[in-house]
Amino acid sequence: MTDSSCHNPDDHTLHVQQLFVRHQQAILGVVLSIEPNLADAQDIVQEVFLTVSRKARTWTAGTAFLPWACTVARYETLHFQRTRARRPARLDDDVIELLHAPEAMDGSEWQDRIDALRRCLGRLAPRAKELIWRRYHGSQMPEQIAAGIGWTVNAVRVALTRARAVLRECMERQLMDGTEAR
Amino acid sequence: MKMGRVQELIDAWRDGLLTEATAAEFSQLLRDSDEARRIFRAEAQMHGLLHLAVMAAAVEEAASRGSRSMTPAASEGLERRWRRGVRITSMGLLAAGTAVLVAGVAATFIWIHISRPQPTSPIWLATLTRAEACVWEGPAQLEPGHHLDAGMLNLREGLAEIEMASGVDLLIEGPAILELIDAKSTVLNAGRIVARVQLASAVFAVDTPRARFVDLGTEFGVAVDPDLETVVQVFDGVVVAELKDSGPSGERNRRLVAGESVRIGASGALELQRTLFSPERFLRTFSTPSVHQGDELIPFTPSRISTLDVLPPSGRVTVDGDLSDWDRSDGFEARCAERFADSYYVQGNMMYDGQYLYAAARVGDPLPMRNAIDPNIDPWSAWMGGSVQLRFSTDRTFGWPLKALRGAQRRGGRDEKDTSDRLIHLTLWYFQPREQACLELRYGMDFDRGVVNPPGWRGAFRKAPDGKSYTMECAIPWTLLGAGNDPPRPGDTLGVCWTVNWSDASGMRWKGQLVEIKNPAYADRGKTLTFEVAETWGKAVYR
Repeated sequence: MTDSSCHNPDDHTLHVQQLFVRHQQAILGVVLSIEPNLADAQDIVQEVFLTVSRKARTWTAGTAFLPWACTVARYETLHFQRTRARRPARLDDDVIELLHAPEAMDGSEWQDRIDALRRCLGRLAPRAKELIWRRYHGSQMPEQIAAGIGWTVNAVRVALTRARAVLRECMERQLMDGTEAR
Repeated sequence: MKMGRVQELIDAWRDGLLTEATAAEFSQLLRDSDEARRIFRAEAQMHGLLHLAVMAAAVEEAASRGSRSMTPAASEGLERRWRRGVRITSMGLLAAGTAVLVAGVAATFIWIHISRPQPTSPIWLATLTRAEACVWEGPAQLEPGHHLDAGMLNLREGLAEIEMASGVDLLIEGPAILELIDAKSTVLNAGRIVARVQLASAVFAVDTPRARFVDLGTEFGVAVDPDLETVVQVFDGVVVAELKDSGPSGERNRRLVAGESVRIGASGALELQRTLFSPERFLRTFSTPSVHQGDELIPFTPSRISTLDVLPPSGRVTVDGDLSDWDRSDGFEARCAERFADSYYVQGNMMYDGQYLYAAARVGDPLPMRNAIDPNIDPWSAWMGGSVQLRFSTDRTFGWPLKALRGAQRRGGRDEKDTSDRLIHLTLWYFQPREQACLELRYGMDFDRGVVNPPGWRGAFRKAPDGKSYTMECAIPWTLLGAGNDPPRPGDTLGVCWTVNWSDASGMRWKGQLVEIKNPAYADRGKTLTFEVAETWGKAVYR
């Protein structure tokens, strides 16, 4: 995606920040794909915003914003994981680089996927929906979910894997059809 | 390459369980295999997308719940407002960007911008547009249509809507103390408000004792508890939260987006903490007055009963909501004040054996079993939607009266009793959307540990044929009550207190409560709260 130019430096910074607001969901999604903990990912997005504001001049108006912001987000995430992350171990930096090449997806593609997934959530079987809701809205780990519903941890993991597979299939079908398929 | 192992490592990555050894193994595997990288990329992206989709669904659900709880006439008005809001939100990117600029670069800009008096065309700051069951502190009872100037508004009860001259709507849920400063700022000293900024040009700030919240083109709720604990939740758009004092992390500003919520603790050490976004936390619309049978808050009723006998069951207890297998003669009955006595009451019983504590109640409620607060989303708030709550001790060494306090009440240090797993707060409710009996257990007086719908408990609710009351029955194993190896014995006298909460037709808005089985020394002292001071609890005498 490309964006129009602004000549005044302050206007340019403001413009960059507006674009950040517009794409913040996609940026959070990219961060979460490297740092899976939601609370840490949200902290990282705060840092990304500050860095993007500071480095606004290095982005050239008229070029694609999201890949640039995602590159900043990737470096901020790696920095965060090295310095502040709560988890003891992480993937090696070179592997992260290998996995997360400059983001090719644009903001509208992210939004399409989120919209499709949201519709698919509505069709999920009640138990599967409860598991997904606990994991992704309640930020509960499988151990906590298992304790809450009286299942084994393994059963919760298996059910979550299945639910994700169902959701992915549903999302991809919707995106392929290009319809809402309600 | 074994795909099963890849999936295991992905699960460990997602759940934060990678060790140094498994992280190294996973890194090597990802270096070596295109297929492993493809699978991991897809799973990692799905993880991010799911967070975002669930967040969006929660916000959408909150919006639809708001519109569902309206009368046709009221929803017509709201529909107009929502349309306006949606249009303006999409138009308001410039404004949102400014908010973000302010957050990240110079928070002082907003202070200056807000505090500078702006000439406004009307001579009043705001207009009271709607009021439901409102009782205002002060000589004048405000009515819809009244214009408001700068000054204090003290809403003791009810729900009021104010339209600021700047184009901001405030929904105020009593009890609340709010000061109108100017058309673009208010101070919320206590209570709950929801602010909806309708004009793209409007900047609006809500000051609280702990923080200031500034928004542009958005909708958000702020709640200030009596102990000044503050929660802000964003329903739409962007809000900048600025702490009055920085916390241990040094962080003062935070940008919040739709679906996010933070709690600012009441203790001296201020720290921004994320809290679970809950659609039910704030009342965002007026409820349906035509459905109400009790239009007013039920007043505090002095306690009359200080002791409840807890007996062994005479036979097998079947937990099905049918109380015919209970001997009800040893229970208690309590009713709300005279005007409400026929409709709002509780008849309660407790029994015990070596494995379980049993509790049963018949609750008079003209709007029974409507609780709409999801146990998976916000069990902490479930009491508000209609519930039965029991607070009790299972430790005979604590004696009676029970000297244990919540943090805010302590003058000195923390006593061992204050945080004991054998002090239990139990909330029982019927989650109507899934027709599910629910239980939340919290341990200790600080409520910092708990479980929801744990394995091993049984509960049932049943609505009376006339629709004016319900029965509740439950069996909870002593293992969940900190007393698996040492349940109460005959002759024990332990603390206990019952609370019944009633809600409105939406099953989300608290209307009133009855507190019974209390220490006679506190029978008339409604302001000493039973969830903060265990000494207020009455006696459970195990026979």
